[in-house]
Amino acid sequence: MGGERGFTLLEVMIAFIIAALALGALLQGAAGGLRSASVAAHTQEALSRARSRLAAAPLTPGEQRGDDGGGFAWRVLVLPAATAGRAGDDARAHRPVLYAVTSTVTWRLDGGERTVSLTTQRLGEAPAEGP
Amino acid sequence: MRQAGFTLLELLVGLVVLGFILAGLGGGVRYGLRAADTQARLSAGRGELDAVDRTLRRMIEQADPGSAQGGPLFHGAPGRLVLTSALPAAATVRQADLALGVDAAHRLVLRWTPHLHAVRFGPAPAAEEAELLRGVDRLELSYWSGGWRTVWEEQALPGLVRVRIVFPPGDARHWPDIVAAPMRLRAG
Repeated sequence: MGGERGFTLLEVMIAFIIAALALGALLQGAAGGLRSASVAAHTQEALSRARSRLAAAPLTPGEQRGDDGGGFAWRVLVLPAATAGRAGDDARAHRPVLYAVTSTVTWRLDGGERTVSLTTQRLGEAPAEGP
Repeated sequence: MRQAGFTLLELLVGLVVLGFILAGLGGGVRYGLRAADTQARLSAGRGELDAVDRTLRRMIEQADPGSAQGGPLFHGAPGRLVLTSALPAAATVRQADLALGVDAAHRLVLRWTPHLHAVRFGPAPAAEEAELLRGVDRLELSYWSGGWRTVWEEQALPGLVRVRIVFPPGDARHWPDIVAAPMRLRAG
């Protein structure tokens, strides 16, 4: 047999374990990539939903919320940002008001909650005030 | 010196171990390839849908309300929308007469001719065509004015336009309803 020895079983096992660890790390990387792609896809969809809600927001101060389907929840917040003219003006009901409109879409993914939020400003008319 | 060969048992064990290694490697490679493929398809399809989303939104937001003399330029049908708006692809704002619909080959197609504030004496130029999406079952359009309607033939623009892109059954793609508000008001 000379001085030649084969590998012992232990050495082979260690080599296997190292190979398995390397393979595991590779698969984990692939799974991470897939998860990121899924997050990106959900974010794009949520952005589209938020844009739609922003377009459809009524110009009355207040908050609206609801379920958007597909596991997405939406919330639209309309706040007066600035009012033109003074409060004592005659044409009080027709003063233009700048509204800050924020639309937020929330969804759950992998147990965590993710959110996209869009804000814009739109010009509207001040609501007619009571006497 | 007589060399000792492998025994049959050693050879068999070696082959089995080799088999395990090959199976593991093959499985890993196959999984990796499938993951890369899925990921590429996912991001490419999504990117395309997102681009269509932006294009349609901009088109609806910039819809030309027309004039009192010329009449409305916006004609809405359940599956087809004709309007004058800013051409989505143009770097500078160029008005064009646009028609959006799904053709017989199940493509979502945008056709346009340049919009002129003039009377044409010659023949109208051939409409240019851009394919926005392939493999679309149909388009469901609704127009808002106090409630959703499927046809719009009014003087004024609708308050909101809802575009629903319906994919054939079995297609993994889906996209939420696109709701956009025309922003331009008719002068005077």
